[in-house]
Amino acid sequence: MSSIDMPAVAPEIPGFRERHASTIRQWRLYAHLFAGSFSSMLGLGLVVLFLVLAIFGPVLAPYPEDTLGAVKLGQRLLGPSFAHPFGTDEMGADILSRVIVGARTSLWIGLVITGIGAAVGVPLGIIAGYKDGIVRAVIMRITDLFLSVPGLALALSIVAALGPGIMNCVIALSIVWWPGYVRLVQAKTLSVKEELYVESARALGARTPWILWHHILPNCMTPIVVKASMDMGMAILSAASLGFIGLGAKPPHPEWGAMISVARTYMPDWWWYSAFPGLAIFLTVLGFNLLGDGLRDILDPRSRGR
Amino acid sequence: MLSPVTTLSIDAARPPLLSVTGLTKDFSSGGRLFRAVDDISLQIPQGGVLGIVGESGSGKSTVARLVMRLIEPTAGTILLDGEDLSAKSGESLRLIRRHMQIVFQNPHSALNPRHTIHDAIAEPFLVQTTIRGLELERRVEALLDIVSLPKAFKYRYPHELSGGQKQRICIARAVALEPRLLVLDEPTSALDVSVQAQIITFLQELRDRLNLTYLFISHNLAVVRYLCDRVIVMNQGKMVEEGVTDAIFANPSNSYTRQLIDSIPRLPQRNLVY
Repeated sequence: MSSIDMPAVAPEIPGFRERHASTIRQWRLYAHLFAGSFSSMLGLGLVVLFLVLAIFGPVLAPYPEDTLGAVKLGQRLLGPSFAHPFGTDEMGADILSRVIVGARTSLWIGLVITGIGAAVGVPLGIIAGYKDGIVRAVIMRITDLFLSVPGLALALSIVAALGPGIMNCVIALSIVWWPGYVRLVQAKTLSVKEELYVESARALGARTPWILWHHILPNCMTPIVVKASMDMGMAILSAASLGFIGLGAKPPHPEWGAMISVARTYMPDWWWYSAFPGLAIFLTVLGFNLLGDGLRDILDPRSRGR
Repeated sequence: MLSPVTTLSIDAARPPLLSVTGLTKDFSSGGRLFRAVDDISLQIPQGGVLGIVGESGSGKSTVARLVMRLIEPTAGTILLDGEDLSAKSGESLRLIRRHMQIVFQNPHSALNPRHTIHDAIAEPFLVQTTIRGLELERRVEALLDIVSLPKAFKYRYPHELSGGQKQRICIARAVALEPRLLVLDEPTSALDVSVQAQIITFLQELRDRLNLTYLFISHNLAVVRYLCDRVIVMNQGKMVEEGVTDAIFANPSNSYTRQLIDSIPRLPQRNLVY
């Protein structure tokens, strides 16, 4: 059998820009489309603001000691002013400082819940979508079981069993979060695995893990990224809800849900106590949702141009 | 106009490279069995080109997928160079796949949109061999050279290429491991007419250069006539006629075959009688 001729010279590897010209062009297009949408940019702005507060919170807070439970009874429940733009709470602590530092807790909660949810749900979804028969049946029935119970109600009972606290709250929400990813990824895998390039890889003799990693997963990434972005907001909201009913973070730990929980007894006369943490939750969730929408618009060409 | 080539003399002493006997495939849909392929037997000698023609839905693409063991046959045996493919499964089937490759009808969906051309051509080596690094680069460039595409295409994505270029990439992937048998499942029917001729000529050259054996599936009779030594005519899953290409085209014995041949569009003959 004749052989494919080999060139005598070693192949020269061009520079980074030439090698990735196509990728760079594509990202430029994405950036251009993203920048053209006001709501996407607003979402990105809110998310970036939230990330900056979460990372540099303790440095940016005007009264860092107030976030650790300092008691200044002389300045309880002061209204918004230059010294305290968001007012003070019943312990005399600066609400602005507590809202800023609370961002870190929220970011941590959102990342861990979404991360665990995706890390558990995506592999299960891909396997359930690619394999037939008993494997799919078992994974999907368990997923359906979890999805048939309202997530927050299930999380509530799990936290009640484990005992209140941020850690238990995160564990409970992670347990109820993964089934959504299984559903999403399984449905996407079912359509991707029928693509000709998957059959072509099978014809080459690629093993199943290779096909899942190189062909199925990359083509499922778009909905995963979009869902993860929106879930960051939803996870933060859910954790705040658990904090509000007293099952999440405990005061004086600066967590937005727990702050509103205490503040509700001071409504409506001392409105600023609950309004500003509430505004922080609202803007954060809004930001992640707008970002998710914007990502979907640029990553999924079918939704473009609407 | 494409002209027929002279048929190769077949060495009767050598066993055929591909030998299929009694191949049958049933699909069940809605509780009813549908026989897509019914008792097909065929043989291709080493270096030969066998064509399968038939209208859409005649089961010819199913034969291609069965021979490639991409779907399980209901009955029948497939021998590749004397080895029983239908008995193989798992790792032994995976390893023998390097000796048989397929080029699909639609090049637009046969390449992963998230992979560069480099990734696509490197994939056969990554899944079947231990070739890596600089040697892999060399092979990828050599294959691009074989399919007459510039080396700079390595870093492009499939959507930046034309249909004919994509099909060349698919062919490069298929011949990367130097297979003995290449199954061509309507490789030109998704392409423009001008590109079709290019790809057919190219496949002809490639066969001579790499000593390949083709199973060529098409509904384009002109192309089959140009490329194939022998032809099988299929209708509704059954084999209705089999023989040397020229003989079948000159003197079809089956009425369905005659219909197919008569349906080839021709330029109207100009009447020169004054």
